[in-house]
Amino acid sequence: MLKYFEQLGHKLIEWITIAREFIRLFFETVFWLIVGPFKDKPVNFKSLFFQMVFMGVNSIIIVFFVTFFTGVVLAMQAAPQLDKMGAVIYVSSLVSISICRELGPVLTALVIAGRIGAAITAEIGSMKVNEQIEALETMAISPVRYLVAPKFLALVIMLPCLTIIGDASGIFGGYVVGTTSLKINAGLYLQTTWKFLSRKDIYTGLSKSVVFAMIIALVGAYQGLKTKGGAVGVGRATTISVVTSFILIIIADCILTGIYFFSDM
Amino acid sequence: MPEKEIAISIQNLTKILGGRKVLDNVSFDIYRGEIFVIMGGSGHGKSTLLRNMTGALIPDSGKILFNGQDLLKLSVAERERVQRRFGMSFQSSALLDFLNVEENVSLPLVEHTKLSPKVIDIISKMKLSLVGLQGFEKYYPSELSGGMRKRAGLARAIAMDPEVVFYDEPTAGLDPVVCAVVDQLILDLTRKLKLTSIVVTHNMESVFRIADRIAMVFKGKVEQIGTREEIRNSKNPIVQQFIKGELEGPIQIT
Ligand SMILES: Nc1ncnc2c1ncn2[C@@H]1O[C@H](COP(=O)(O)OP(=O)(O)O)[C@@H](O)[C@H]1O
Ligand SMILES: [Mg+2]
Repeated sequence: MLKYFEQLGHKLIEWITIAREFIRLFFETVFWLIVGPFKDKPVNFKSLFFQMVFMGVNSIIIVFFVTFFTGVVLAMQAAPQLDKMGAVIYVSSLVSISICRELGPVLTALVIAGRIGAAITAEIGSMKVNEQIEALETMAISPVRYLVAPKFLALVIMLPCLTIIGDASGIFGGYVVGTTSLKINAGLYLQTTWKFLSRKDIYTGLSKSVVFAMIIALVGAYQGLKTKGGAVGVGRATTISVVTSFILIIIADCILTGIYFFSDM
Repeated sequence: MPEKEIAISIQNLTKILGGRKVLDNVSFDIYRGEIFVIMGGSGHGKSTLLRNMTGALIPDSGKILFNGQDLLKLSVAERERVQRRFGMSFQSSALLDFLNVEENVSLPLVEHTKLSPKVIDIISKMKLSLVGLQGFEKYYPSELSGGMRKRAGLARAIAMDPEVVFYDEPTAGLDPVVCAVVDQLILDLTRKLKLTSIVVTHNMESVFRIADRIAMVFKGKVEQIGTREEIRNSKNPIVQQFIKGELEGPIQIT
């Protein structure tokens, strides 16, 4: 019994340590982004640009497919129910509101966590096991400034952009179903979409995606920097990174939705 | 020969890793301008010893003096300034694989100096020609052979004109001829640039080719320190077994 509590205690201490290190990494990254330019050490623009292309441009297609088909499915699921009430036209607002508030930001973040979070961990992790991180430290170059900060900034810029694309594709998915199989007039469909979609729906969705971007970049970098144990270790760290990102994204989404919901009252 | 000046002094250094004393009360002095070789079997704490000197690890107890200054008593900023007078060549070269050779060599210059790109270009070309890699500026690490990567790593280590250069297994995994080339390079660089070189290796040919003095590390302790001749004629059975590579003796491989 005592042993059980002891184990629990150790686990708890371990978790607190991880949380502390994680928060420290966040502040260090933000520190370099803000203070770096004044210390003559701004984020490397070449690296930032490269990361933005890699993270953003190359992810557009997959984001499009995931959110487009989600829009299609949403419309198909909702149509029979709304039809019973003779309100099939409201498919358009149902799709657009649920996509912009919730599914667009979350699905895009999950896709990017799988694609980019994994890549960040794998890259930094393999640099760790090949002594490259240690080499940077020995040259008195902060790996957080040199490696993490550009990735963090690039993702915080690109994920909201991808989310906008995701929102648009999701709405388009609903539109395709609405105007073809539900035979709603195209102009009417779009009109109802705009009428019920408030600015706040879009803003809250995008502000969520900024938080998700921070989670993905920091979890990816944290797991990468903690990697040990050769190629196997890199694989393990990558898996942990993606799973942790997924969980934290869902938890953050829940908290943020709660905040927005209650601040509405 | 004039009185020997001490560059680095290690005093009663102890480091615990994973609950085990990886370094146990290690003490020795390294003289300015010499090639000091740390030899010993795998897992006996050679890299850990080097990491404590470069500042990658902080010892649990003991002192590390550099030019008489206790490194462990310095603030982070002061320590970083001292660290810039160190160069390090890594076991796996540790070149950044998204940069080409020239960008790798110039990285410390770009990050720590206000030199113009033109000057940095000249310096990095010069350092590359010192290690015989002129013409390979635009190659990426993955396009180079192991020996060339080691030499590029060396060029990066000397980019900032360091006083002290540390080498972790500079000849590991190289064929005998390339091995001799790298050894010759360490000798040349140390003498020409008036460096102090600290070389970790378990390659006995290298040891006797380059060392001014040798320290034998065994299970986290320094077993013996001496010149090449003193080590070759050592009465210590551990040292004898190690340099001759004998099966029978006090060193047990489990
Ligand atoms: N971070 C670490 N945590 C736990 N043990 C370590 C760590 N780093 C090294 N060790 C252990 O310390 C011992 C010495 O390692 P090292 O200095 O790398 O040896 P060498 O370079 O002589 O082969 C090894 O047994 C290794 O397992
Ligand atoms: Mg080693």
